[in-house]
Amino acid sequence: MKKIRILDIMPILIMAILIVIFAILSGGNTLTSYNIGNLVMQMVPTMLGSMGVIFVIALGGTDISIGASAAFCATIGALIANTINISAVYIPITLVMSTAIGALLGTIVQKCHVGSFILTLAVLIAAKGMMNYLYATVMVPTPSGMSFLATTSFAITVLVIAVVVIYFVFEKTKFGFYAKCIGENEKTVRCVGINVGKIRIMCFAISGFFAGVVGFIQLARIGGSSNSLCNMLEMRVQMAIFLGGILTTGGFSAKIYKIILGTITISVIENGLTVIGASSYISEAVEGILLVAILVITIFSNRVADKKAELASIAEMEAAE
Amino acid sequence: MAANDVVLKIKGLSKKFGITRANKNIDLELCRGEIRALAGENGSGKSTLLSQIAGMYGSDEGHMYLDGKPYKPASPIDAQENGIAMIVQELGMIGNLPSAINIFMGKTKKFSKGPFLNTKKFYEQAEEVRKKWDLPKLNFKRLASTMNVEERKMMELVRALACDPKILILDEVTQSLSQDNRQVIYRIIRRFKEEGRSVLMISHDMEETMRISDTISVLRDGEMIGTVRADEILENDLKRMMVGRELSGEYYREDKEVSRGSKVLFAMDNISSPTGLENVTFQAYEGEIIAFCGLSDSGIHDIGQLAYGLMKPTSGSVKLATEQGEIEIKSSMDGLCNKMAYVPKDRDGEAMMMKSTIEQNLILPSIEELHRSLGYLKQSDLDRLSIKAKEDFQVKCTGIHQKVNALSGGNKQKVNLGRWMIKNLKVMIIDCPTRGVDIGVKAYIYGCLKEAKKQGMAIVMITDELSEAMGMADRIIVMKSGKIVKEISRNEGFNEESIIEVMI
Repeated sequence: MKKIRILDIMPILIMAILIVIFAILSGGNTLTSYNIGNLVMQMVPTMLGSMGVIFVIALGGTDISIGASAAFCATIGALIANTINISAVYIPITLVMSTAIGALLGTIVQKCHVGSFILTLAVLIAAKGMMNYLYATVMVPTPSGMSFLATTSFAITVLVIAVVVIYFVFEKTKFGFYAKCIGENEKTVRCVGINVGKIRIMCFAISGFFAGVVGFIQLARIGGSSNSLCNMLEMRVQMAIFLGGILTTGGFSAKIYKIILGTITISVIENGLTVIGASSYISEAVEGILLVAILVITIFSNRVADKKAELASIAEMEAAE
Repeated sequence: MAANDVVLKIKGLSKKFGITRANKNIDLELCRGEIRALAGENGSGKSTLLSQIAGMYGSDEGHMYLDGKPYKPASPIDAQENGIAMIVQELGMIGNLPSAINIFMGKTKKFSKGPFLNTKKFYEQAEEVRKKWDLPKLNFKRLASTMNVEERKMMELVRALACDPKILILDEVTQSLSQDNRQVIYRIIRRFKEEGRSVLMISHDMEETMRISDTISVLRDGEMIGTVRADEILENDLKRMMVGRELSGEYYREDKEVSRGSKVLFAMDNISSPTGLENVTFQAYEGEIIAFCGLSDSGIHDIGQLAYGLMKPTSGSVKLATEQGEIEIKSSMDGLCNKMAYVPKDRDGEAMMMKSTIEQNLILPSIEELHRSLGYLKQSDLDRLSIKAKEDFQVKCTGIHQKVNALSGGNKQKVNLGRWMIKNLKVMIIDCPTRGVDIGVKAYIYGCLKEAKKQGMAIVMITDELSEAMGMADRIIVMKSGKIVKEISRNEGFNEESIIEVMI
C-alpha cells in the first residue's frame, strides 16, 4: 500500500488554492471560457519547453539556454526559408539547429565536466547577443504559408503529442530510467557498465529539440522574429520544475505529472495577475513574491514529510522484525 | 586494576532513534593503556556507542565520566578537546578543501589573526603530526575529493591524532586499508598502549580483533553481553557470544585442491594502464576463483576497472568468452551485455544509488535484458525480477519500494550482489566483497560465491583480506607496483607469511 504524502499533494493543493484566489479576486473572470483558452495558449510554450528540459533535470543538471536557443534557431530557420524562398525548410532547419546545439552542450558537459547551469548560461548570453544583432540588421517575418503554426489547434495538437510521447519515453523506457539513475548516482550507472556519455548527450539533445519546437511556433505566433521572442522561457520552465516539487538533484523525483502541475501553476499566476488588472510593473513583483512564498512552503512541507517518512520507515522495520 | 586507572567510565547509557532502541543501559569501564575492542553483529549498537562517546550523538539516559569527572560532549570538537578522537566508518571530509584544512576543521582559532587564516601553518602542523606519529608520506595540499578511500582514511587518522587524544576510537578502520597501512595502524595502537593511552575499536575481522586487543566487549541488540580478555577466549566462543547461537560449519571453502573447468572464460593479455599497471596477463577458467592481493599502490583495484572496460588500457587487450565466440572488451557495455559483472569496492559511493528504492537498484543491471521493443519497461516485469531477487537473497526489508539507505550494511551488500547473481553470469569481477559486513552476512556471501563457482562462473576477487583470499581462491595472484609478482595455486597450499613477503 502506498501512502499519500503531503509532499506529493502539495503542488496540487497550491495550484487549487491559486485558482480559487484568482477566481475570487477577478470576480469569476479567470474562469470564463475565453480566458481559459488564453491560459492554455500561455501554457503551451512553457509546457513544451519543460518536456525537453525534464531530461536534463533528471540527470541532476539544468538547461537555461532554451529560450535564447529557441529564438535564435527559429530566426535563422525563418531567415533561410525566406531567403531561398522555400518555406518547407523552416521547421527542419530550426529543429536540426536547436537539437545540434543541445547535443553539443551535452558533449561539452560530458567531456569537460563543467556544470550545466554555467555552460547553458553562457550559451544563453551568446544567443541573446546574436538575436539582438539580427533584430537590428534584418527583418525576419514568418515564412509564407506558415501562419497555420500560429493557430490554437496546431499548438494544442503538438502539445498533446509531445506530452504523450515524452510521458512514455521518460516514465516507461530504459532511456528514461537510465537518465534518472544518472541523477541518483552517476558513478553507479557507470560502474554497472552503461554508457553515461551517450545518455547525457541525448538528454541535452532532446532539450534542444523542444527549444526548437517552441521557437518555430512562437515566431509564427508573433508574426516574425523579435528580440523579445521566447524571453524568460527558461525561467518559466525552471519555476515550473520547482513548483511541481522536483528536486534540483534530479533522479527519481523527476516526474512528468509534476512538471505539468508546475507549468499550470505558473501560468495560473501570470494569467490571474493580468486578468485582475495588475499593471505589468506590479504584476512582476507580485509574481516574484508569490513564487518565493510557494517555494518556502514546498521546501518546508518537504522537510516535515521526510521526517515523518523516516519515522514511519523505522516503525515498519520494527514491525517487520 | 586500581580504580584510578579508569580513564572512561560509562553508566547506564541509552540511545533511541525514533522508536528504535539503539543502546540499552550500557555500562563500560576503560583503563589507561587498554586496547578494547567492541564486537557484535551489524546493528548491535557498537557504532552508536562509539559515536556517543565521541560526541556525535547525545544520550537519552545515563552518564559518562572522564578521569572521574562528568563528561557530556556536545559535539565531536568538544570530545576532541577532552582528548577523545574518533575515526569513523563512513568518511567525513569536505571534498573541495585541501586535506590539511580538513584536518584542522573546527579548530581554526589558533591559526587565525583577526579575520585572516594563516593557511601555511595548517600544512606545517599537519606535517608535524605526521612526523610525530611516524606515518607514511602524505600530500596535505591535495583536495579531499581527489583522494581514494584509503588516502582519506589516513588523513582522518592525522586529524584524530592532531588533538593528541588520550582515547582513540577506531570504527572499522583497517577494513578499507591495505596491508602496509594496516601495519601503520597496529603500530599506533601499540604506541598508545606504551604511552598509557587507550584505544576503543571495532573490527569485523575476528582474527584481527583477537590479535590486537587486550579485552573484548560483546554487544548484542544494543545490550552489553559481557567483557572478556582477548587471550582467554577462543574465536568460536566469541562468535557464539556475538550471535547468541551456534554458527554452523566453516564459512570458507573446506577443500584444499584446485577445482575448476578447462575452458577459459576471461583473459587479460599484456595489459598496461595509465595508472601504472604493466604487462598484466592472466586467464580465468570456468568455476575458478582468482584472488588478487597487494598493497595500496599495487594497482589491484585498477584490475577491476580495466577488466570491465571502465578504464582504457594503454596497451593489451581484454577478452571475454561468449556463446557467439570470443569478444574483445572495448567498453563496459560489452561486459554488461555478455554475462559479465563488476562490483566496485565503494559500495555506498559507487555501487549503489543510496537514495533510490531497492527495486530501482535491483533492476539496474538487468534493464538491457528486461526491456521490450522501443525500450519499453513493463512494471510487472520489473516487479517480478526485484521480488525474486529480494526473496532469493533474503534481503531484510519492508518491501521492494523501501529506500536502500534505510537498510543495514549487510542487506545493502545482499542487494549489491543479488542484482548481479540473478543474471546467470559467466564472469564476475568483485572488489572487496565483504567490506563492512558482519560475520553472518560474510558467511552468506561466501556461500553465494561457492555456489556461483559450482555453477561454473569465473570469479575474479580483488581483496585486501588475506584470510578471505586464502579461504576462497583456487589461485592467488600477488601484485606489487603494478606488476604481477607471484601466482600461487591452492594445490601448493597458501601461507600468509610468504604472501605478505612478496607483497612488501
